[in-house]
Amino acid sequence: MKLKVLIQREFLERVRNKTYIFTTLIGLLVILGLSFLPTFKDMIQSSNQNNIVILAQSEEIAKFLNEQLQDKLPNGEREMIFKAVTVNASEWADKKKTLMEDLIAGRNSVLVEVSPPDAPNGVIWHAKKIDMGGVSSKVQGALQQLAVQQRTQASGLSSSELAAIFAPMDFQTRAEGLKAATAEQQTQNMMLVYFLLFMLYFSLIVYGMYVANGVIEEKSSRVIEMMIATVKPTTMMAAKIIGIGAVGLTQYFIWIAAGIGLLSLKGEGLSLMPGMSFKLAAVDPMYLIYFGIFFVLGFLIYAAMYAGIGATVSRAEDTNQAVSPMTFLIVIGFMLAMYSLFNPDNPWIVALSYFPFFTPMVLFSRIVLTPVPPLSIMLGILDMLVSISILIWLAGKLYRTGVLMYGKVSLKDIVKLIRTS
Amino acid sequence: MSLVVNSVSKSFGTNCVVDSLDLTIARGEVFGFLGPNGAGKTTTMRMILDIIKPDRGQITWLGEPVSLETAHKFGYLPEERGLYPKMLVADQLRFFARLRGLSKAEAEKQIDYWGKRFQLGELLKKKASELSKGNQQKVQFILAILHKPELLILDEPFSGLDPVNVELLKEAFKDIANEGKTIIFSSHRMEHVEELCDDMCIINHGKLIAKGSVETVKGLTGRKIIRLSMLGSLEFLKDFPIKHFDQGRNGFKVADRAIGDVEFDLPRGVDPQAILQAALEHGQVKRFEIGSPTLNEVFITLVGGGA
Repeated sequence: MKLKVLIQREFLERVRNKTYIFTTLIGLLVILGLSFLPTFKDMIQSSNQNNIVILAQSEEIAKFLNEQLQDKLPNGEREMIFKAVTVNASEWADKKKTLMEDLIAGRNSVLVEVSPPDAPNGVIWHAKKIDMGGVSSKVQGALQQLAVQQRTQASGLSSSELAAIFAPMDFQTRAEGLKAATAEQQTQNMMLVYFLLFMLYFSLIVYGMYVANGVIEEKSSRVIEMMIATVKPTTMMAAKIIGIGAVGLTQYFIWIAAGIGLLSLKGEGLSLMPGMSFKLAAVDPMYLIYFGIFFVLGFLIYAAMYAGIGATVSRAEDTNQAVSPMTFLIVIGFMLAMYSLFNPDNPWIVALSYFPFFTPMVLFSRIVLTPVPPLSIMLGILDMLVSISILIWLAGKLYRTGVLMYGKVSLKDIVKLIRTS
Repeated sequence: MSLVVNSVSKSFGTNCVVDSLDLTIARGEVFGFLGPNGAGKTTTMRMILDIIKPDRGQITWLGEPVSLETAHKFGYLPEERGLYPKMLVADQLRFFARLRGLSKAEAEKQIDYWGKRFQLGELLKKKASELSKGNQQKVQFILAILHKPELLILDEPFSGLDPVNVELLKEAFKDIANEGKTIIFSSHRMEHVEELCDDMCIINHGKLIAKGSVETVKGLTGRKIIRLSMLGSLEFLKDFPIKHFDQGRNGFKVADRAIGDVEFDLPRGVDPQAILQAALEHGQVKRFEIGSPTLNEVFITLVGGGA
C-alpha cells in the first residue's frame, strides 16, 4: 500500500516534469529522423543523373557502355546515360571545343574522349569535378573490359574460350561458431548491439542520476525527516528505484513503439549508420528479451549504488563528485562492450563479462555476437542477482543512516556507516 | 501512562546527546518539552518516532515499544521544515495522507477542511517552493495532523510565524488537545508553554533537570518574588538584605511623593510579612504579591546555572 503510493509519486512527479517530456519528444524526433533518413538520402542521390557524352570515331563505344552500365538511381532512373558523338580526326578539335562549352555551361555532366588525336588509344575524362572513384571508375572498368575483349579477339580466341578464361572463381565466406551465418547478418547484429548498448549506457547514467538526485532532493529539502517518520528507508529506496525504473521503461516503450510503428509503416530499414540499413525482421526476438533482462538488472545494480551514495550527499553541488565512481564503472563497461563488438572471444572480454558491473553491457554483447552456452548466461544473471542483493542491502544501510546526516561525508565515514549500522 | 521513556541514552560518536532520560506522559496531556539548543530535544523526539534507535533504554506507547507501526498513530512536525519543492501543495497533502493510510475521500475531506481553516485557498494549487516560509510551515502542520494522530509531536511549531498565524495554529493546537490527543511540543517561547501546557520538563545536556506541572517547575528554584506597588518612598527596603531589585516599568514620581513599583527576590530567611508591615508603615500599599519567578526566569536560572 505504502509502496504503491510512494512509487506512484516517484513516477507521476517525474513523468509530469517538463525536462522529461522534452527529452521524450526529442527522442521521438530523432527516431522519426532516422527512419526517414534513407528516403531523404535517396532523394538527394536521385538528382545525380550523369549525362555522359562519348566523343569517338564510332558509335560502338557509347552503345557498349549503355548496355554494360545499367546502374539505377534510387528513384529507378538510370545513373548514367551515354550519348555518342562521332567525329573524324580532322574535325576533332572543333567538335571538342563546342562540347567543352556545353560541359562548362552544365548541359552535360561529363565529356569522354576516346582515342583522341593527341592521345591515341587513350581515354580522357573531362568533368567539372574530380570524381572520387564513383562514375568514372565504373566507366573505366567497362572500357578496360572492352579493350581486353577487343585485344583477345584480335588474338583469335573464340568467345567460349574467352568466357572460360574470365569466369570468376567461386569464393565463399562462412563464419563458423558465430551466431550469424553471413557477414550481412553479423553486421546487422553488431548494429543492434551497438544501438542497444548505447541505449543502456545512456539510461544507466541518466536514470542513475535521477535516483541520486531524487534522494538528494529529499535530503536537501529536509522533507526526508517527515518521510522516514512514516515509511521505512528501505521501502523509500525501493519505491524510488522501481518508480524511476518505470519512468525509464515508459520512455523506452514510447520510443520503441514509435520506432516499430514507423518501420512497419514504411516497410523499410532504419538507417542507423550511413550506408547501412537496419531491418526489423532480421532481429532475433530473444535478443530483445535478453536486453530487457540486462536492462532491468543493470539498472538495479547501479540504481542501488546511486541511491546509497546519494544518501550520503547533502548538497546538490556535491552530487557529481559523489557519483563519479559509478559513472567511471559505466563508462569502462561501455568501452569494454564496444571493444567486444569486434573481439567477442577475447579471453579478457569473456572474463570481464562476468564482473557484475560490466555484465549487463559486455555479456549482452557477447550473447548476440557469439554463441554463449546457456549455462554461462545463467551464471552471469545469477552473478548479477547476488551482487544486486548485496548492493541493495549495503545501500539500504547507507540510506537508513545517511539520510539524516548532513555535512560532508568521506569514504571513511561511509565504510564506518556500513559497519556500525 | 501512554508514552514512557525509560532511561534512554543516545550517543553520536563520543558525544552523549541523551543521557538516561526518564519521562512519562499521560494520555491526553499537553507536554512542554523544553531545553536550550542542543540539549537533545530533537534526538529524543526522533527516538520516540523510531527514526533513530536509542543505544540503551526503551520507549513505549501504551505499553508497546515504539516502532514505525506505532509511529502511524503519531503526527510529527520536525524542526527542520521540508516539503517536496516541486510538488503541488495539494498533491503533497494527498500523498502524505495516503501514506498514513487515509482513504482518498477522507484525505480530500481533511485537506479541504484544513486548507480552509488555515486560509490556504489558492496556495494549495501552487508548488511548495513558491510558498513563503510561514505558509510552508502551515502546510507542514496540516501534514502532521491530517490523519488525526493519537500523539502529536511538534518541534518548535510556532517559530517563524507572524502573530496572526501563531493564533491560527494555537487554536488548532487547543482543539486537538481538547479532543483528548496527547501532544508533546518544544518551544523557546515560554509564554506559549505557560499558556498551553499541563506538564513540562526541561532537559539540558541530554539530562532531565526539571519535571512536573508548570507551577511545580516554577517553584523549583526556591525563589520567591515579591512584587510591590506603593505610594511612598522605597527607602525602607534598604533595611532588608535584598540583593538587587528591578524598578518596575511604572516607577515614576508624582509631585514630591514617589510611586514605587518594584520586583525583587525574597531574601532567604526574611518573612515577607515583615516587608509588608514595613511598607504599610512607609506609605500606601497598592499591591503586594508573593509569587514565583516567570518560566523564562526559571529556565534561565536552571539552564544557565547548569551550564
